[in-house]
Amino acid sequence: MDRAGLYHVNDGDALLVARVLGGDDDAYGILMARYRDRFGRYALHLLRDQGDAEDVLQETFVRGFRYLRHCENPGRFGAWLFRILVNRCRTAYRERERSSRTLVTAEHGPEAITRDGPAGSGWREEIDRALGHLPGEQREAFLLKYVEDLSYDEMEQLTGAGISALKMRVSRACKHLRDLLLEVYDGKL
Amino acid sequence: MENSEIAPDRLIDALAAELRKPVSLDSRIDQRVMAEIRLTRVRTQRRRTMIWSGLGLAIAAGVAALAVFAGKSPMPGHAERVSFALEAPSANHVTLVGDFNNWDPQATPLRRVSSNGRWETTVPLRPGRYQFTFMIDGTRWVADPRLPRAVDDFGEPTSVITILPTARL
Repeated sequence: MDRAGLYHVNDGDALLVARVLGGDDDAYGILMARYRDRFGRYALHLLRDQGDAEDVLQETFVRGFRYLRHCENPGRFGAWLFRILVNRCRTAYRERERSSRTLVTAEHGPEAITRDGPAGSGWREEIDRALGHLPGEQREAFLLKYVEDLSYDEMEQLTGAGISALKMRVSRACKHLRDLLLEVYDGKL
Repeated sequence: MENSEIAPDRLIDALAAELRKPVSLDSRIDQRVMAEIRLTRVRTQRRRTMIWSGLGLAIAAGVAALAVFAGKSPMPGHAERVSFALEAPSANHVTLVGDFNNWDPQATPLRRVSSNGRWETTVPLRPGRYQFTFMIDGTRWVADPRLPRAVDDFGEPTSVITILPTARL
């Protein structure tokens, strides 16, 4: 599903939402199929834990169904549901952070990832490790900007953070990621 | 350019391209969601039947004292019939949604009780702390301005009501 599929009016979604509200549960299954891969990808990259990501995704779809009547523009069901997902990811992230206190904070600063990392780690695994070094807000902003391809206006509406703050988070995230991955990336070329 | 402060960067582009690739997820998520959805439908149906039956039996016995205290809901104790009312002259349909009805917008409709647009319903609630809001015509959320506020996951304002146990002689 491309960006347009999420943030532009989608008449197909509007029709499916109407069918769900009319009692057709199978129509909700079609809506889930449209968004599950993209939403699951976001949750997995943000939370970096398969179980947590799947829990959040499941909870998002259930909440989406229960609150469906609050979806003011059914043609933008995808964007509406994505907002629920982003909020649930934030909640899960904070709960996990409170309980474990093991996540690296901005104050600690990332350490460079070198090719002497875990044996057999590849480009994909190094990326995952680098994302794990980013503070949550930076990781969220980076994923929304570069992976979900949102505009800063859309990010502002989604997160409630100001555009300046979001640009700062993205900028810092990019810098951290460059610092962390440059050596691996150069070696990959 | 919107993000002109970030120079084009092949490393970042390559990183983003990698992160856009599909990921593997448990395919049973869909089944679990659908099972939960069907359960929600059944619960809603049952709850609606119970509430409408109850409304025929009792006029509000009154709201127990309201106060702010930290407690889980519901707490042990007898259920009290709590009246909810809203002035909404231009509304065509008003429902009550809250954690006591699983935020189900169909579960607890209010009825118009006066020509000046007063809507009311009564819900049996055990002592405890609850969040709720009114939903007008299926789209507008209206919190009760007289009660403490909370914010749900969507950033929507909700009201907080606390039911204290009624002293029984």
